[in-house]
Amino acid sequence: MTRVPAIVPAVCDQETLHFLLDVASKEVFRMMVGCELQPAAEAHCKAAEFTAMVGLAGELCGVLSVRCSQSSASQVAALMLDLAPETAAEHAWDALGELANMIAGNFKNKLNGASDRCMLSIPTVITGADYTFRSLDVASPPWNCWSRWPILPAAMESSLWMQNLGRSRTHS
Amino acid sequence: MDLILCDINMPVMDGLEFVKRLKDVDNAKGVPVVMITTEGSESHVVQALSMGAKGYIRKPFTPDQVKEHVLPLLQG
Repeated sequence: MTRVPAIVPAVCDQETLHFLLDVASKEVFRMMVGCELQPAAEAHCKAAEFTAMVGLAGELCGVLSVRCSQSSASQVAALMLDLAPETAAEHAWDALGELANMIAGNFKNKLNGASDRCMLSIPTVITGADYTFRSLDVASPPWNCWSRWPILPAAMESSLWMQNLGRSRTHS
Repeated sequence: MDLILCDINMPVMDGLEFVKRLKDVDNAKGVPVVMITTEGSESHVVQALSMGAKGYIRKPFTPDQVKEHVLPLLQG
């Protein structure tokens, strides 16, 4: 696993958080899916049919989302669980939820001290692309980070979306 | 049942509570439990092991890491 210096959340800027999220995502995909993530040219993910979300609360607040097409979710499930593609679709929900859980956990574990002061929610998985995501946490500045990576040569692409990851307003 | 792999963040009951309660289940209290979780803090590790977990694997993990923790328990 890639080693990055321990970072204290209180001194993190968005660029650092983005870097850590990128490293955390790549590690999870490399170890659990067997794919090397690459940045994509375009930063949109309108075709996403599966969205897995994990909430962060405490030292870090926000929602980490992994979005991808149905076929991508099935391929992720097939690779993670070593299943035949035709049987993997029924496990796409669990696989994508677990993927989001691991990325969120790996990300917060890279922040020195945050692991004890930041809780993760159970993953939630949404199907369908026709929805709008909005955070009601208007007190902390929103941080939208869209990235998109092709996972496999066979036109499979995935997107990681993290929104509104801001430091908690008070911490004592 | 030879071994239980258990997460910490779970609905209904978290993994630490599960390990604690398993000790009261007659036909399962001797089954070794290995935590396999994204929770990576030392306090979680200490808490899990003190409650009776026999191993602790942080996600993401490699197959070799799982074997390293699980095989000795299955062979022992």
